[in-house]
Amino acid sequence: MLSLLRLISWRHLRRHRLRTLLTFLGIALGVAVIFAIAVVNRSLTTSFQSTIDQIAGKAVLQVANGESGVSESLLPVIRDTEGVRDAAAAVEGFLPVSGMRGERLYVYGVDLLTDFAMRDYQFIDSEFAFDQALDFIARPDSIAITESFSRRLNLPLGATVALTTSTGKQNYTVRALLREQGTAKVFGGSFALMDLPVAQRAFGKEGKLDIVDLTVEEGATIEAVQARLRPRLQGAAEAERPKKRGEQIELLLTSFRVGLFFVSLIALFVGFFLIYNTVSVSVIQRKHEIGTLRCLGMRRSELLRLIITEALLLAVFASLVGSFFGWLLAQAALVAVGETMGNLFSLVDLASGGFTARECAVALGSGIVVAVLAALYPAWVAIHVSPLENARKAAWRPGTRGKGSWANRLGFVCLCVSPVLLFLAPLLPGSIEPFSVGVVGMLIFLLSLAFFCPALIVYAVKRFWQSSLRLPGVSWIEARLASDNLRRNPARSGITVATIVISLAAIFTIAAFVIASAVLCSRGWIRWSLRI
Amino acid sequence: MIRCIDVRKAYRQGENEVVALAGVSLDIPRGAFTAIMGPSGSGKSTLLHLMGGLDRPSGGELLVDGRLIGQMADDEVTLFRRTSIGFVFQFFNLLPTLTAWENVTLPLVLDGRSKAEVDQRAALLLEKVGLEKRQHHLPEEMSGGEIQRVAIARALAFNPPILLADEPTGNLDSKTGQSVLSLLRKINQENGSTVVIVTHSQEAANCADRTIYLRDGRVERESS
Repeated sequence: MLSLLRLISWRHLRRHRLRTLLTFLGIALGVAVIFAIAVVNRSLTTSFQSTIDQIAGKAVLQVANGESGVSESLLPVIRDTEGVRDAAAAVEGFLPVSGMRGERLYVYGVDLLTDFAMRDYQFIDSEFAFDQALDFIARPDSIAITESFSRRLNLPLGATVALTTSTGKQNYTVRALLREQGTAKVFGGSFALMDLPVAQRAFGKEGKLDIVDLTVEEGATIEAVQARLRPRLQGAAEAERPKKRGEQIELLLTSFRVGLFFVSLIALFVGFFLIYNTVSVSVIQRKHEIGTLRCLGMRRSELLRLIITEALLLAVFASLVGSFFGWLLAQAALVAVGETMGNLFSLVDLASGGFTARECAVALGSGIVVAVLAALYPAWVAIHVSPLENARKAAWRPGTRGKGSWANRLGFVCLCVSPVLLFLAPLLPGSIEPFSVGVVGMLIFLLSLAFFCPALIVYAVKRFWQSSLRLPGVSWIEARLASDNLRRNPARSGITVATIVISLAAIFTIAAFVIASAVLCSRGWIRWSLRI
Repeated sequence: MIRCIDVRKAYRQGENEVVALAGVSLDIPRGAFTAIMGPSGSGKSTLLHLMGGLDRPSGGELLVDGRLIGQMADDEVTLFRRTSIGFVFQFFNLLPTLTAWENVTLPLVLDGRSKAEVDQRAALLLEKVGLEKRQHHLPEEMSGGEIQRVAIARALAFNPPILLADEPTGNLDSKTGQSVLSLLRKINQENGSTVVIVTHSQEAANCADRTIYLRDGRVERESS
């Protein structure tokens, strides 16, 4: 097999360098997109989850009530529940920095004296002693910001920072600097601590709490404390584990991830057509060569193995290169996503752009499997090339024979299935199912267009011949020859047109998805994770 | 060696059936040099393709080297072609991306022979056709006569008992054509191979021991 690959396949690929390069790039691009999306997906999820964990601190239970908040009067009830060791109340949210376009601070308003038990804050230069904490609390304009934020906005200790609050612009004095550790690490250091009443005023949430974090006493079980809290809260709030909140966020992010998954799918779809097109053209071009090989005694199984191995080797190398470019693409995408999130909300610490073995395997596997699948039909056509092709000089016409061909029948089936799925999608429950079914419906619609392309080309050429339409700068005979060339091999022309159609659809889909879905999902996430 | 008993071949062209062979019966003994002649459309190339297992007869029996070639499975007939039949075509049908040497080695490579055996055999064959100095040239760098010699060398890779040539001189000038015919004759005499050539050329047919004339898919006459 190696000798045949070297003698036949390698020579052929080298002879058609440009086409080989285009196929190689097609596979590499598809794999790169899949790889990058996998890395970005994981990085986003990890970062979101890590933000939740950092904010939750040591809390094992969290009492919250969605956007409405928890009444401050419930705090003693919660604190006095049997089994509760510490109860730290907080209000939280973003406040824009006045005069600094795009700068936002994630402000965490807590009772400093109780919150130290829940979260780990490290202060710069000196220990934030009890007296200093009292001094911080005693002054209603105190704010603690992170070292990086202080450096970035040139706000040393004692400096004044103006924030746009619910009551308008308010000045706060930097009375402590936080190391970027623990909770202060979230949102890339755009984090500030305030005393609880000061933050409540800033957010216009007097008498309200966003969340109460709880730890339980030794010997008490979380479930037991949760069960005791339920009747005491009387439906005014709910106590849940932080992990549960993570799961809810995970669910919210799923739509984003599913969306990205479908973008990968479209990239694979385009890759599939590119490979199919290339291998088909290659088989057509090599018809005489294949006939010669069959005549000389190459068995069908050997020929099939040769063509599939050719596609496989090309796919392996292209996938390896694609994975590398995918990793580079992921780095760029993470920077872009980070900036977008930063512009929309605040800085987000996206996990590093490293990759896992699973992501690598998925990307490589997808590229290889798609390449082999795409090569199967052309390979099947190739093994049915008669050894007589070696002797014939007539033009060979593979594939579709216009009306009633298998392509038209498949196209018709897809065209019937697609609207059913598209109409069914909005009626499905949940958030993921309608989206997934809708995208599948759209992909099937694209597939139907692809199947109809050969027949459409034949029809368009026929109409063109019947019409008096003249193309500027092209003589009638040139146009006639060119269109005849399309018509003589509608299957091959159809694949090219279908590839362009699907590629364009992919570009529009990705653009629409990135602009709309990503922003909406991120907004949803921010609301969900920080305001519940 | 080759026995045709009422061999028929028909093709479908749309709604119509085109009869290429309407019942051919003939015997070609081992070691014979036979020419098949006839006007275009007489079925001579079709008969050659059937003898070589490139196509299957629609009816009748065709025995090649004692085997019913029309009833063999695809893999079986392919392997039979590989080792027992050598083909030479009018348009040479060498692989354009391979050198003369590589083209000659191709059937041996397909058969999975060792490199040493492949090299030894290729050297011998190229020497036999007088092209040892052109072995690293691509077909596009060689003359028509040289290309046909490479094709003959390739056809002899397994020293097959049968050599089938479809218009082997049809694309060559008369002088080069004559040298190719001499080479085929030499192979026939030295190797004892059964050679069948299809030709339009009486000059080529004169080299053969026997000429079979076909017309409208039937044997019209024979001459020795």
